[in-house]
Amino acid sequence: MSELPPGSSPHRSRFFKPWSFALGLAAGLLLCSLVARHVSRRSYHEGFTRFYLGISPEAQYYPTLDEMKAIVRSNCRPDQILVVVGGNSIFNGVGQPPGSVWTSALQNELGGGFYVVNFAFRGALCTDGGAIVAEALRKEYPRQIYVANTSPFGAVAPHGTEPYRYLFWEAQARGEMESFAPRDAAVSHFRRYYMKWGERFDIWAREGLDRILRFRDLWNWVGFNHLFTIPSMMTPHLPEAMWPRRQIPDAETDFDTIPFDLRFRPEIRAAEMNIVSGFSRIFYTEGPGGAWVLRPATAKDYATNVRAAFPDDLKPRTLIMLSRNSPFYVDQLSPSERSRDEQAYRDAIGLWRKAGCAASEYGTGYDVLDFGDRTHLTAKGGKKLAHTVADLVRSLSDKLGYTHLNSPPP
Amino acid sequence: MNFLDDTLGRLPPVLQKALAHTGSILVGIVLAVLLHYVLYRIGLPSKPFIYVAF
Repeated sequence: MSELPPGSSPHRSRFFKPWSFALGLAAGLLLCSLVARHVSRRSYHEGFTRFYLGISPEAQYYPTLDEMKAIVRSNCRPDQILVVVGGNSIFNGVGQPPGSVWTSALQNELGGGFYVVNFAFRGALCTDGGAIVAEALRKEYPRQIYVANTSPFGAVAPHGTEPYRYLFWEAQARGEMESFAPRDAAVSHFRRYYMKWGERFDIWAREGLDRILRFRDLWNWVGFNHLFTIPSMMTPHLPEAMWPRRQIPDAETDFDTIPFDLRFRPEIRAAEMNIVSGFSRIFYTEGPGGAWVLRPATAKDYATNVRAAFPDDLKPRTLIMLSRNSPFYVDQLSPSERSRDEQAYRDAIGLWRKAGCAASEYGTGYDVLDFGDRTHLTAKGGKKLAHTVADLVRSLSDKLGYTHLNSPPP
Repeated sequence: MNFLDDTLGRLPPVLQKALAHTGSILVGIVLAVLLHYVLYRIGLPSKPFIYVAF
C-alpha cells in the first residue's frame, strides 16, 4: 500500500476531492435546471390536439405548466385570440378520434382569428388544467377566453381536484396565480382542514425544489422524446413501457364504430338511469304548487365556490358550459324530474352569471346519436357543441372588445 | 480504491491532481443527474390514477 499524505483518511481515495465533487454536484444540478428551462421553452408536442391517454396522468405522464404554456406560445400567433378549453372528459373529446375532436371543429368554426387549445382532462374540474394555464398566461395573452364544462351544482373546488391539483400548486409556487382573497381563503381552509402536515410539507418541499431545479420539465421532455421510465397501466409491458411517449398514438375510441347496444349496454342502463334521475335531486326540495326550490345550503355553498373559482378580473372572459345527459336517459324521466333538472340548469347558470362569468348549457335538442354514452358526445354531437360554443365565444370576444381594431395587442 | 490509487499513483503528480479533480467533478455531475431524476420520480403519485366516468 502506498504511503498516505498527512491528513488523508485510509478509507478514502486520495483521488476523491470533496470540493471538486461538490462543485460537480452543483454544476450538474444547475445544468439539469438550465436544460429543463431550455427544452420547455418551446413545445415538443408537434400537432398537439389534446392530452390523450398516453400523455396523461393515467399513463403517469403529468404535463407541466411550462410545457402547456409552450404549446400555446408555439402555436398562438400574436394576432389571434386565445381560446383555452378546460373541463372534463367530455370537453377532452372522449369517444372522438383524433381527426374528429370537437375542439378541431371549434377551431374550424372560429377561423384563423382564434387559436383553440384543448387542455381538458378526464375527471377534471372547470378549475383544473386549462384554467391554470389560462390564468398563468393572462398577461402574455390578454385577449383570451377560457371555456370549460361542468354540471349544475357539480364540484367547483377553487384549487382543483386530484390528480390535477399539482398544476395549481405548481403555478402558485411560481407566483403565476393571481392573489384573490376568496380563493386564497378557500385554499387556506383546504390546507388546514383537509391536508395532513406531511402532505403540506411534501407540496412545499416539492414545489420549492422544482421551482429551482425544474426536474418535472426535464424528465417529462426526456420521457416524451427519448425514453419513458415509469411503468403504467397504459403500457405495462416492455418494450412499450419505455417507448418515448411521442410514439404512443392518440388511440381514442370512436363512438361511431361501436354498436349502440354496446355503448348503452342493457346491464348498465338501470345504473345510468339512477344517476340521471338523481342528477339534481339532492339539491332541491319541492315547494308549493310543484315548484322546485334550491336548497339554501346548496345555493350558498355553490355561490361561494363559484365566486372563488376564478379571480374577478378573469371572470368576464370565462365561459362555463353546463353539460346535459343523453336524451336516451333524459327522455325516460318523469315530467317532475325533468322540470327539476331544468330549474337546476337555470339556477346554476344564474349563479355563474351573477358571479361575473358567461354561462350557458348545451345538449338541449341533441338526439340520441349525438351522445356516445350517458354524457360523452359522438363526433356529430361534438360538431353541434362546437357550433354553440363558437357563437358564444364570438359574442364574448365582441363584448370584451377583442375583435375591435383598437383592442389591446396580445 | 487501492487498485485505483495504485494505478493512478504511477502517473506524474500534476496529472494525478488534474485527474482527481476532473474525476470528482464528473462523479458529482453524474450523481446530480441521478438526484434530479430521483426528485422527479418521488414527486409522482404512488397510486395510479384510474379515471371512471360517473
